[in-house]
Amino acid sequence: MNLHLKSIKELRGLLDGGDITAQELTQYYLDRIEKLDPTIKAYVTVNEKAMEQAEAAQKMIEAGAAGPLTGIVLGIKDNICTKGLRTTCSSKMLEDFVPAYNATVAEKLEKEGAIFIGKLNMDEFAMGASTTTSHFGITKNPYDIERVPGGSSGGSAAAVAAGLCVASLGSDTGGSIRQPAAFCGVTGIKPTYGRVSRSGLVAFASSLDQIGPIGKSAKDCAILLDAISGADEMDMTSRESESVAEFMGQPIEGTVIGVPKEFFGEGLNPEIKAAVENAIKEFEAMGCIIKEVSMPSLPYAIPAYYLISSAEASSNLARYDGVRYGHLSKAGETFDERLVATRNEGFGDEVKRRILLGTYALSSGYFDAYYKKASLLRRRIRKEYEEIFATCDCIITPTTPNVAFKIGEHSEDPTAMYLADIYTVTVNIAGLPAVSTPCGYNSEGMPIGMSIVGKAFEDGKILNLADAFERKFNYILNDFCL
Amino acid sequence: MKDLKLIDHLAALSRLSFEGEEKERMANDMESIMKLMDTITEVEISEADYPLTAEGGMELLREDEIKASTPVEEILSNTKGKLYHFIAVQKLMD
Repeated sequence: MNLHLKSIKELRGLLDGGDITAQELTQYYLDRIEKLDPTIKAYVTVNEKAMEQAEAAQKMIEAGAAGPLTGIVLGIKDNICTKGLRTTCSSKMLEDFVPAYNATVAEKLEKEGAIFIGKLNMDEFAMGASTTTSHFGITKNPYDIERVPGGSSGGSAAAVAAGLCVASLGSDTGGSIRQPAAFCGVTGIKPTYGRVSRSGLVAFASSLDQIGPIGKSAKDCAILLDAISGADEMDMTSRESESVAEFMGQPIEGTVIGVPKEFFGEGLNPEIKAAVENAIKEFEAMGCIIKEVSMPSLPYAIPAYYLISSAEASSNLARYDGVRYGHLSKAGETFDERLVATRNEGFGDEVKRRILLGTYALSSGYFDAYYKKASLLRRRIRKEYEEIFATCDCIITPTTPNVAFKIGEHSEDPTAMYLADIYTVTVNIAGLPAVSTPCGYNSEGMPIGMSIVGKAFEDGKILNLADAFERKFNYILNDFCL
Repeated sequence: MKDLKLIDHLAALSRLSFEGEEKERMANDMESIMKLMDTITEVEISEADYPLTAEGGMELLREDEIKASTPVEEILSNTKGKLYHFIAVQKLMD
């Protein structure tokens, strides 16, 4: 039985019907990880206690106390704290860090009886778009192992695509769920800022970060999103919100879809443009109303995003001094010398670049020109979204300008990688929800993703649209890894 | 911004340091990054049009409440320099 191709709902039926046990499902995935992960390298740590969790989940199932995710095998991005299970952020700085507490999302999933099969590779401290900046090696794209899986949640997307977990959690600060989902041919949603608690997510840029699911389909993502959503006293920005599952299967006729012309201009690969335009035609055929809209500030979104996120990162990463936890250098005679040596040894190049950029943007004499200007642009971009959503229910854009690139292709020029975030960063800047779903393949067989962006807290509506398209597109996960 | 002195200054503020080839490479990277960031300096935008007020919802602070938290032993489990229940660091002054 190809269990790795089954949806969460199908697996729920098999588990509840007694066709398989949680232990058998867990062992199935452990075997696949052993067989395939030496090639894909999606996991930093495989959970030695996964089978213990499976036994507990099976007891819940047999007691008739199963929830939607009881016994379902999940992978967790390695910047989400898991009590007793190493959480590295794919950095030498946290190479041996074992959290003393669960992130709120991990706590919710553990209580529901989900199984954490392991911790997934990522760009160091979630800074990157390729999963090549990890201290633990490069994750490969399951469609072509010479290409990157995207990032920063590259391990989370690659593991789902390769059938190394049922679904996974990622985090998205500027596209880190949606871009790898697009590169690996799976579905991923960046929820509305505040829908999901960030407590226990290792902070990168606190006003932009959000945890979200990656799955084989929008339906799987909806189940996982409902399980992790909700207000949390540990995160003052979190809110209660409507269940997204209730929106699934609702009619989509009459939905007004905006198509922002700036997202289809220069720099967009022609094959991606054609695939997304075809998808828009499919929505029109399903009864949606298509309308051209505009976001004039798009060309400035990249610098605005990188200045804000790096400024926040330079502050958030100031805590890494090796004193309470994390890497501690043996070099240096004084406290200050050891502090500098610890940070020099613990952080990789990309993290150092972001810290320097953020420090520059916040420093005396440059604050107004950079950080303040970026903050004003953030307000303008939000305003432009408000204007679009005054007449549209959602917008559709490409997720990325190009398909997954070859490993090492952008290694010499960090700005080339930054520019590739152009279609995803405005969503984080505005705090909106966006789902990326596959909408075709290019001539080399690499997946193409499109993004559906919704109004704040209308995550259910965009997941429903993605689900409607996935059913029409008859998207079936390729079993390429076998 | 290929300015090695500026790299030294930012590194000192960031509690990092760069020497030799690494400093040269970082300066080159930062020059390229700042060229991209400088594109926002051409934007005409004022605070009068987009007031920088507090983010929506950020005012919802909860009341402080004293309650049990993670045990000290567990919190210290990741600390390398420990002395009894304390974190030991190098001396800061003579």
